[in-house]
Amino acid sequence: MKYPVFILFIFGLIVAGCDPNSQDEYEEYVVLESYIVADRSLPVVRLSRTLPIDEEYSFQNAALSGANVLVTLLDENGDDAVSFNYMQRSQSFNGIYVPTNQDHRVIPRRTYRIDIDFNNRDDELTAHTTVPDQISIINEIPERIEYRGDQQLEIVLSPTERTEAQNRYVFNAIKENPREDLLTPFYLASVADGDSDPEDFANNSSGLINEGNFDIDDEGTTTLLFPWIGVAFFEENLIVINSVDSEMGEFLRSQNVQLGGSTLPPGEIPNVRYNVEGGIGIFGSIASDTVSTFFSRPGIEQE
Amino acid sequence: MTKHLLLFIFISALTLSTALAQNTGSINGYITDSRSGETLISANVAILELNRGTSTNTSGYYSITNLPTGTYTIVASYIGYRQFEQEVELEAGETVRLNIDMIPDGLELETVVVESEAEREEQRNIGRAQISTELIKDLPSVVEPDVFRSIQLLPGVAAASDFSSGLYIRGGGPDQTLILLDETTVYNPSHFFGFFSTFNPDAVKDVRLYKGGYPAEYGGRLGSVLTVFNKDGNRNEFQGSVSLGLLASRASIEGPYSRGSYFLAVRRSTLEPLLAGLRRTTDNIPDKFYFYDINGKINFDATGNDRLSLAFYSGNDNVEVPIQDDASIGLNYGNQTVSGKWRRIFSDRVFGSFTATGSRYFSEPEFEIAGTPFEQNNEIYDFSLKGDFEYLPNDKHTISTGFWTGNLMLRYSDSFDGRETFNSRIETQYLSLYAQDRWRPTDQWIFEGGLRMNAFSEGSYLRLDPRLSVEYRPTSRFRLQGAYGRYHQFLTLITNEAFSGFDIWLTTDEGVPPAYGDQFVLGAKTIPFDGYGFDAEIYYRTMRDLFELDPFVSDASGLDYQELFRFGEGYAYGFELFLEKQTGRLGGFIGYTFGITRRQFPGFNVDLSNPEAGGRYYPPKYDRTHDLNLVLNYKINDRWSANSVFSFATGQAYTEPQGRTQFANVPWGVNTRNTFTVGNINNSRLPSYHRLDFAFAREGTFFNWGEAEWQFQLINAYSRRNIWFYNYDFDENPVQRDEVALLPILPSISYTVNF
Repeated sequence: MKYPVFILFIFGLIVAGCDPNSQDEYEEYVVLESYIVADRSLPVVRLSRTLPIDEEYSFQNAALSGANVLVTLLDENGDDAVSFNYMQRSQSFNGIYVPTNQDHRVIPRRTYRIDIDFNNRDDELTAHTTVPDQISIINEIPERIEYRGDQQLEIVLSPTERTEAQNRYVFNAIKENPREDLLTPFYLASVADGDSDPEDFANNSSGLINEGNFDIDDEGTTTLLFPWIGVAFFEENLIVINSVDSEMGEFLRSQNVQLGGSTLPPGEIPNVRYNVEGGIGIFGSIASDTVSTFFSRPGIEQE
Repeated sequence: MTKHLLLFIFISALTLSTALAQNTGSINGYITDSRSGETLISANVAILELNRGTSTNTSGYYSITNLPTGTYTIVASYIGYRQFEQEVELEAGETVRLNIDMIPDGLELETVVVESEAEREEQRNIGRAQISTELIKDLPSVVEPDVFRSIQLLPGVAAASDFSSGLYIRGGGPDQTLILLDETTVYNPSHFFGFFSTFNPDAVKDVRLYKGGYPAEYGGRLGSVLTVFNKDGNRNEFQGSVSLGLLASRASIEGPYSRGSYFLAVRRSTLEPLLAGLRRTTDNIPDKFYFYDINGKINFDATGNDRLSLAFYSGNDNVEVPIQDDASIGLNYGNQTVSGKWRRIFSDRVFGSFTATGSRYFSEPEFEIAGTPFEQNNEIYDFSLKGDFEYLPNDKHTISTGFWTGNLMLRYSDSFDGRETFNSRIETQYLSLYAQDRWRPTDQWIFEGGLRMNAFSEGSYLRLDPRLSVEYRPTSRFRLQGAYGRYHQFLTLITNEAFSGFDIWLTTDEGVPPAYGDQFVLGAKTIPFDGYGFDAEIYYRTMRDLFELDPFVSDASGLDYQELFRFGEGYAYGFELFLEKQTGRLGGFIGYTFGITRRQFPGFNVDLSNPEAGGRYYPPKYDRTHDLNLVLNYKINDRWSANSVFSFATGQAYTEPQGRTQFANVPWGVNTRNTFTVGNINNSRLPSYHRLDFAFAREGTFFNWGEAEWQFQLINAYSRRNIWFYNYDFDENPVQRDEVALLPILPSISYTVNF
């Protein structure tokens, strides 16, 4: 009778000692950050390295110099069409690289590739992005809208040629000179609680929103209602509609998951999903259009 | 198809039973508690002269067949009851109906109490565990005595946290356990966002857990089965009880009527006075917060051979919380079940039951922030008909067969700002058929083999599940057991272990195949000394085609149904030890589990340096390498008793961030975006969990009107601040890690009156 139990314990100890889920050590990665915007000049490229979690972080400490950055426009067959060299902005701006050609305008629906290597380290990075089709807001935007009134801000987007299964959007509302007395009630409460400053909401954005949320008519125009939660300030606001590419979408949604916005249990933290070979980071692209309107306080007569 | 099968079963069973019944006789009947008339499950009954016996099934029914003519002594026994003996004379071809009333221990103190070997054996079948309703009520508990919290103390069962009553059994998540209340599926049996289960201990008669390797009569889940049977109601006299607690109170009544019995139990939270007080001093206290559940059953004894019952359950949690100005959360979820059962003794060899069930689950969380509503709706309507038949051709075989067919409607929808953004409604028909034979060729060997077929119309899935178990008893004190089974699962539950109020059930469909897995179990059950039991089990199980909501899907609109899921696999293995002291003033048990469980999903937990290698295996948060529970109960004197529970477990798995970076140029938002880099997911462990709880009970009377009991409890007696998870604060540089703790020390008091 004693032996089976003893054997069971020994078996257990052996099994317990063979846990394949071993700890791993901190590893440094090169971090790329760059966002191409349709119909604009080529963007800044930021290069840095990760720092250990217990170290104080600053971009200056993490920035990487000595990089050779090349952005290439690919043709429709995926071959190189035109390449654009980059250079470090200045000796005092380590890690920030700017294109030598400021004249090129990013072409919608085309794919760009970035290649990076270093004079002072072995890392080599590559990433691709396909720029979404340019979007245009084609309806007339009211000059004034009563906040939480009967009429929400309606936006109609021109038809686009898709570069993926469905377009994905991020909306943001930009307020110049944000002041506490202009905050809408929900955001005012956050500031009053001491959790935030008015400046935190000056460029207030939605999460990632699928095209499937909106009405698309037979001609391909997309109609959406700008939700009240997006309005952080009364009075004049710039409303920006951004269409993002799949790399950007993956980056945004996975970053949200990492910070706890998903069905994963607390403490289960995945890496952000990156599209960069040889490193981490984001080389993404967007297309956007902007309108402005004035959100008046409820009950105050329109001027 | 179902009709033909039923006809076949009936004709076969009746023909065989008639042919075999010519020269022998049989004895059958129900075994009940003499005081309440409740049927007793797994009571032992034997023919003394022939050394032949059996035990009652879940309906409390027994049958001993193929008995030669003669005069026999029938002996029945059950834990906590006096042994029953009666002489019976049996003629050739005669069937004697002998309904047995067992007298509970304590009614006549001078009598000797004999324990039922059958029930102990049933408890100690492979993969089985059982917990008594008395123990559930006596154990220290935070809000209410709880079935699930008590089950979490058994080896092989882990708790996700102090705040979760979810059952994590042998490496499986809560959805891998089929939960049946009076044979009806219950989809989210929790109150208080998962803090405790919906099963009211006043209403529960029997709780049994099939941790693994379960037989063909059950199916539909990869891991385990929990069956809960509510009381039938006292068939002899009217009874009631009222229990007042600080956070919830409950009441029940039961009694007889001319043709049967009834039972009704109600429980409701009593938080309103507390919330009203807190609202004066504290912000963001819920505007509304209550839960309730109602259990009822009515039994109708139509004839000596036919018994009918109708049971229902309804439970609901409803809360509205203002988060801050212009923002609120509302949560409304619950279950409703109804089941009608017809139990029939077809002949001395064939017992059957038909059950019609209905089950509804709904979860309707909603937020409204700055005038923008977000709403979610998950609903299940499950209507089914099942039949189970037991055929006893001779004393060596027990053949069981049955069917379970129904219509399942599952709906999941999202809406944002008043517009529906996702709507999936799946309606499917399902059919399961099973047949199994328990064969006992000698006193030493028992074989049980079975096959279960599962058909699911949506996606046209047809799956077969073979099951087999073997038991060898070299001596009366030693049992060796082994079991194998294949299991399929057509549903998945999306829950985040922290909070069950937002639980979502989803189902298989075209492109979303059912998950399946194999289980292998080996066990040894011993009686080292009189009054003690020592059990050991080893298990290994696989999980394939696991499907669960992809956590990276932030917006379901515009996606096909299968795009909502990620598909992966997993495995679990471990061993369990269980030492129980069954008699004496000091009783209790100690259970130890060594367990490992892992999951793998493509693209999840990839090595950043080598993403092409794909997702690596990782432990889910609830993985506990070591888990030990010590439960002691001590009868101090006639009035006072004490209970204590000590739990120790390896800290849960979590992901320790290793590096960090910032993204400063995202074209929207004003703050830089901080991100971590991590290595293997969940490869770090929280500090070990341990906790000690006490409960003292004092029995007395309530103004000579009825029996009463005070219960004083101390949860987490030495106020161990166990950690739930770490929160990382990016506002600090370097990043600061804050501990989010579990329950502190908590005293509580309750008063119960039984009349």
